[in-house]
Amino acid sequence: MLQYILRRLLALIPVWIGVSILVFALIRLIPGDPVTVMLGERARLADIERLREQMGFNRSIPEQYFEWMGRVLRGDLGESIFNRMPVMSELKQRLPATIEIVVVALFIGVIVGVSIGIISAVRRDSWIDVTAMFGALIGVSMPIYWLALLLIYALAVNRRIFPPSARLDVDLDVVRRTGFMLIDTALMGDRRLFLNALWHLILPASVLSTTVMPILARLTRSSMLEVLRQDYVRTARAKGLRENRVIIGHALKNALLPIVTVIGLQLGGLLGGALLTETIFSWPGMGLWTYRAILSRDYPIVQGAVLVSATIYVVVNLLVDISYAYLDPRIRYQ
Amino acid sequence: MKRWWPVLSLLVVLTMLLGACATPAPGAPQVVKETVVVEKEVVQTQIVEKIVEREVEVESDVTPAPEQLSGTFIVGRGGDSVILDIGPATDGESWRVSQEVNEPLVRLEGTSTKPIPWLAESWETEDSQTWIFHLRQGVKFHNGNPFNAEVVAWNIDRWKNPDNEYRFGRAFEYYDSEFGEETGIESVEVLDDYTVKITLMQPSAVMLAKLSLTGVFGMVDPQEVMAQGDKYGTAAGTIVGTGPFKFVEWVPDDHITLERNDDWWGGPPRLARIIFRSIPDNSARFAELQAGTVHQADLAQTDLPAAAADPNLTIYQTPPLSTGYIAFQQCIEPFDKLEVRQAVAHAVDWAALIEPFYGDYGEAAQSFQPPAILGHNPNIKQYEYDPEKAKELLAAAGLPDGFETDFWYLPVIRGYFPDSKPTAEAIAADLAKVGIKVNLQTEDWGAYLDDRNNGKFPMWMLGWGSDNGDPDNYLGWHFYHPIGEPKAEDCYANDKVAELIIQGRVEPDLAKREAIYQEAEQLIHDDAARISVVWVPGTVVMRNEVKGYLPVVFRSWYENLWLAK
Repeated sequence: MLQYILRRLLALIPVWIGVSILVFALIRLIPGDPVTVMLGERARLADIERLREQMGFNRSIPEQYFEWMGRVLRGDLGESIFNRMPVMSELKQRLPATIEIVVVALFIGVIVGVSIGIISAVRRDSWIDVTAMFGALIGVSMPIYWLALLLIYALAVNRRIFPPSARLDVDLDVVRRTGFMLIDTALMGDRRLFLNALWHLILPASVLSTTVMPILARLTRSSMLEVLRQDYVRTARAKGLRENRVIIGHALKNALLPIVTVIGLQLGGLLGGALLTETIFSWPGMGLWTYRAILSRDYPIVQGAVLVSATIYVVVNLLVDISYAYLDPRIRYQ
Repeated sequence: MKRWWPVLSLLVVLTMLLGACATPAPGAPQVVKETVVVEKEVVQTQIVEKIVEREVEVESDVTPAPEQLSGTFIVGRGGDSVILDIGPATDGESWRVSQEVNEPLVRLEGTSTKPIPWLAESWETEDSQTWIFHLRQGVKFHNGNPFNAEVVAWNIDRWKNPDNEYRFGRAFEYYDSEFGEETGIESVEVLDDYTVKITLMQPSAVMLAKLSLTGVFGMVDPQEVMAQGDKYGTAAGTIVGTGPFKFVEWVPDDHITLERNDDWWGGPPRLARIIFRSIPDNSARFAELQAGTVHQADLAQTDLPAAAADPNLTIYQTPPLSTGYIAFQQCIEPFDKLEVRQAVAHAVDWAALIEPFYGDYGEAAQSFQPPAILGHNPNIKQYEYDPEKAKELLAAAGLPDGFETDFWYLPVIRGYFPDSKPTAEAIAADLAKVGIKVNLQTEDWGAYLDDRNNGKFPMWMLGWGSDNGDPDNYLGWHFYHPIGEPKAEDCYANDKVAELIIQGRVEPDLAKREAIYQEAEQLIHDDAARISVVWVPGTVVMRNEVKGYLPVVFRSWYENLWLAK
C-alpha cells in the first residue's frame, strides 16, 4: 500500500513538469503582456520598452522558464509582477478560503445529490423521481454565474435573508490563525462570529454545489438501480432486514464506488466553478485571485496557482483511489 | 418522517429557485430623490472663467449632529488595490485608498483643476525651474513622526533615484513618465526645517499640476518605510501618512479599512471609518448598493439608468475630464490625405451616437479637450454631418468610389466607449453610405494597446481621461513628438503642434499658456488628426444617507462626508 502511494506521488513529478510548461506557454500565448496592462491608455513605446527590460520580459521564453523552474524547485514560486508580494505567502492566505468553500460545497452537493439519487432509485418512475431528474437536468445546464446572481437578488437584495457577498461582515474582526473562517471563529469561541461566517458561506457554497449535485444525483440513481436488482439485496430483504438498512447498509455501500470516483474527478469542476463563484460573491480565494491575475497577466501568480490546483487535483484523486480499498475489500494495491 | 428528509431538502432547493423568480419586495421606504448638485450652469461658468476659481454652490446640507459622526462608510469597487505604497502604484484603485492616507504638497481644488496648497502652504518660483516650497508646520505622521523638509527630500530621492535602497525593486513608473529623464527633478535642497528648494532640469509650467497628480506624489514616512522594508505598502505591512484617515487593515480581495485621524491638521473628519470593499462582479456590486450593504459603488454605465430609477440612490455627475476619439494612421493610404480624414469626419452623425450609447452620461464632443481643461477652445465645433460633402471630399482625394479599410474597436468597456462594438457598427453604417467600407476588428486589450503604439491600426477607437487637469497631460500627451519625428501610433506630422506643446510646458503666464493650447487645438481640428466623439462626465453613485458629498474631480474628499441615520 505504502509503495503504491509513493509510486503515485512520484508520478506527480511528470505532471508538474507538464503542467508548468503548459501554463507557462499558454499564459504567454494570450496576446498582451503585463506591461501594456499596467500602463493602459498611457502606454508609450519608450515606457513599455523600459518596463519590459526591468521585468525581464525581453529575454527568451525558455530562459524565463528555466529561471522560474529553478526558483520553484527551491520552494519559491516567485513574486507578483504588480505588487511584488511573494506568490507563496499570498497562496497560503487564499488557499484556505477556497478549500473552505469547495469542501462545504462538496458536502452540500454530496449529501443532497446522493440523497436525491437514492430516493429516485428507490421510488423509480414515481413523481419524485421524475421531478428530481428533471431538476437535475435543469441544475446541470444552469450556468453558475446566472444562478448566483439570481439568488443574490432573490435572497440578499429583495429579501435580506443572506448577505450578498464576502466571508464575514466587514465590521467584524477575526483573529486569523488557520485562514479557515469557520475554524478561526470557532477557535475564538464566539458563537456570533461563527454563525456570521456560516451565514456568509451558505449562499456561495450552495451555488457552487450545483456543479456536482445533479451529476451525483443521476449517477447515484443509476448506480443504485443496478445494485438494487442484485440477488444479495433480495436476500437481505428476504431475511427480514428493515428497508432502511437494506438501502443504506447493503445497496448504497456497493453502489458507492463509481460515485466516489466521480466525486474525485468533479473536484476539477469545483475548482473551476470556484473561480466564477468567488468572483461573483467577492470571495477572496484562489479563484478570484487567479481570475484577476489572468486579466492583468500576472504570470507568476497564474503559474503558481495552476501548479497548486493541479497538485490538489492529483492528491485528491489519489485519496479517492486509496478509499476504494476500504469500499471494496477485493481491491488491493501492490 | 426520517425517510422524508431528503425530499424536504429537495423541496428547499426548489423553493429557493422559485423564490429567485419572485418580484422585488414592495414597500421600500419612498425617499424623495435629491437634486444632482452640479448644475449645467456650473460647467458653463467653467468654460467662461477657464481656470475656475469659484466654489460650486452646494445645496446646503445641514451640519451633522454629533451622534452622526461615528459612521462607517463602505465603498464597493470592482477590484482590490494592487499596492498601497503610493509612489510605485500605477492603478486608480490603489491611489483611491492611499491618497486618503498619504498627502502631496499640492492638490487640485476639486471643484476646479486649480492647484491649491496642501502639505506645502505656499510656493514661489521665478523661472518655473527653481521652486521653493514652504511647508505646513506642526504636521505629524500617524505614528507621531514629524513632517518636515527632510521628509520631502527623502521622498523625492526615493522617486527619482533608481539606486535608492528603499525602493525594494519597485518601479516608480509615474514619476518616470511624468517627470522623465530630461524634464525630471535635478536636485532638492533643504533650506530649513520647513522650506525646500526643488530645481528642475528644465523650466516647467506644469510642475504644480504634476505634483498634484491623483495622489502619486504623496508623502510617506521615511522611518516607517525603513522599518518595514519591502512589506511597506503591501497587505503584509501597513502605510503611514499625514492624511485625514489612518490605515487599519488590508485583507486582500476582501476589504481595506481606514479610520479617522483625530489629529489631522485640517481638523478631524466626520466619518469614523471608511471600508473599501472589492466586489468584482458588476451586477453583484449594484445589488449590494441596492441592498444598502455599501454606501457608494462604482457602477457599469449600463446600470446607471436602473440606479437613477432607484429612490434610495443619488447619481452625482462631475465635469467631463474624459474624451472618446477616433484616430487615423496618417503615414499610410488613404489616411495620409487630409480630404479623406475630413470626409470621415463629415460622413458620420457623431452627435447621434450620444443618446443611444451614453444616455444622460455623455456630451457630444466639439474638440479634443473638454471645457474643464485649460486651453479648451470654445470656438471649435464638431465637423458637420454632411454625407454629400464627404463624397465630394473623397472625390477630391481621388477616391470617388470610396475605399475599404480596417477599423479597430475596443475589446474592453471604458467610460468613454461603454459599448464599443455597437458604437463602431453605427459609425461603420454611416461610413458605408458614402462608400467607405470598414471591416470591424478587435483583439485582446493588451495586444490592442501594443499594436496601437506600433502604428498597426489604420483607424481605431480609444480615449483618455485626465490625470491632473493639465493640458500637458491631455493635448500634450497625445500630440507631443520630437520635431521631425512623428509618433509611430498615428504618424501625425504637424510639427507646429509639437512646437506649441513644447512652449506650453514652460510658459509661466496662464493666459499665454491657454492661448498656446487653443491654437494647437485648432490645428489638430483643421488637420482632422483625431475626431473627438464624446466628453464623458464622471459619475458617482451613492446612497441617499450619504451627506456632504461634493461632485468634484479626481478625489472624493471623504473627510467631508457623513452618514445620516
